[in-house]
Amino acid sequence: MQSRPECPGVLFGGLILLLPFLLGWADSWEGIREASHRIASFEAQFVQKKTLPILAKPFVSQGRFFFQPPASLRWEYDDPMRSILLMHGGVVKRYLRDGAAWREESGSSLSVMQTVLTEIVNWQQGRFDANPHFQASLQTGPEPRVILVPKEASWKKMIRRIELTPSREQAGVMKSVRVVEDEHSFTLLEFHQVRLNRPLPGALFVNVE
Amino acid sequence: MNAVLYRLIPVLLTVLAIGACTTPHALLPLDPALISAVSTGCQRPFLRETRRLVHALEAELPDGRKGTGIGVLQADPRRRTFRTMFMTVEGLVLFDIEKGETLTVHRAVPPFDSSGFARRMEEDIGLAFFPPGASPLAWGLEKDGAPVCRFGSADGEMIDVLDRGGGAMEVRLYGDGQELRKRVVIPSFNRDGLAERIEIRSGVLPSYTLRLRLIESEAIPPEELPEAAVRKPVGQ
Repeated sequence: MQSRPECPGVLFGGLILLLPFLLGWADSWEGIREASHRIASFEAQFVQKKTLPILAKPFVSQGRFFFQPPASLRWEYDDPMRSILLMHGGVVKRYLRDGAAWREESGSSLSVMQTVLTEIVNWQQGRFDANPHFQASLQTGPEPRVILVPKEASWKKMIRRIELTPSREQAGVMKSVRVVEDEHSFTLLEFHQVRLNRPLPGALFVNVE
Repeated sequence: MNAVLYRLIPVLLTVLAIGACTTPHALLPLDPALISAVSTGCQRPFLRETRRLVHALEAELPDGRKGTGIGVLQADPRRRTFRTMFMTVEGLVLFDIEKGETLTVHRAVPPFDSSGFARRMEEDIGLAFFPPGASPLAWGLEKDGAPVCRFGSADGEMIDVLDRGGGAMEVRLYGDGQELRKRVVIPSFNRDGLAERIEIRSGVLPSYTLRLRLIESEAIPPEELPEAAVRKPVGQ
């Protein structure tokens, strides 16, 4: 039975968010698992470039994200829209800047949150084979990549593949994530100013401000 | 009993909706010397050239839920054609439609795959971005003194464009039963004459509100807009 991506935005967000921490340097799945186990915390800036057939140039967003095992995460967009996705203690929340205040976005179902959290645990341990939605393959060589291809028709309608490029300099860190929807539409996330294993306050994953 | 109730519900809802609507009232007379200026002002809400627009978009649904994302629109006001995409902040495209000679749905991920959603979106875009006609059927004043241009259409619908003063404009769509179906409010315009914020309220079921905030805009010269490129579906 195929699972229907009832809230693909949240699932997609969880997927994009979590993969950077879980991939590694590795010419093997074992190496990826080892690298991900060595990460005590992760923080980075990111630039997101969205390419669409009706845009002359990519639409650029940017922000920051933070991760701390086992499953605490903050994905924050600063520009052009302010949005914060928080995951902590089994709870997923999204907040949007509404005028001078933050507003919690409603509509995300508990089951979707649970799905995201389950995938967090799997990816954190480098267990790509446990992901029910994507088939993972590792391209080794001078420019290693992890390629994720949807298993189900419902997902294939939205995403053709996800390409993850590990950083050469920092184990457990990735340089970029490219989500390909079709030959004219894709999203590129590039990470920079990466800091590893710094102590992060718990409030960062619970409170918006 | 339950079956009877179920059959009655749509009827009751329709009656309630009609009861809540506003009939387009007669306009107060406008000084004929002002007609030209009012007509010019009534063009302000709409695109004058083909543009790419990127908006922060918020949708408020009847049950109070709110969804937010990014809307991308490429629209040609002369041909009244467009292509629009709605995506999450993270960049995943959830909805993609194109209006040429016909309306084509390239992508519609739940909950945007519901029946009629694409048609409603087509109507909203037409109302907010395209001039309703070459020339108004009538000019007049609201009771509060706001100048109005009234446009008609072959299918019996009527569109009022109101100058709300202080730079604000409003567009109202009345159905063929003269009920107020939709209302577009534009509080202000930027230096390029484009709406900085747009609020679209649907008064008919399912009622909803869309709020758009302009993030980026770009004029597209005609030579950069080959017809084939506009109408070529994604992935083909």
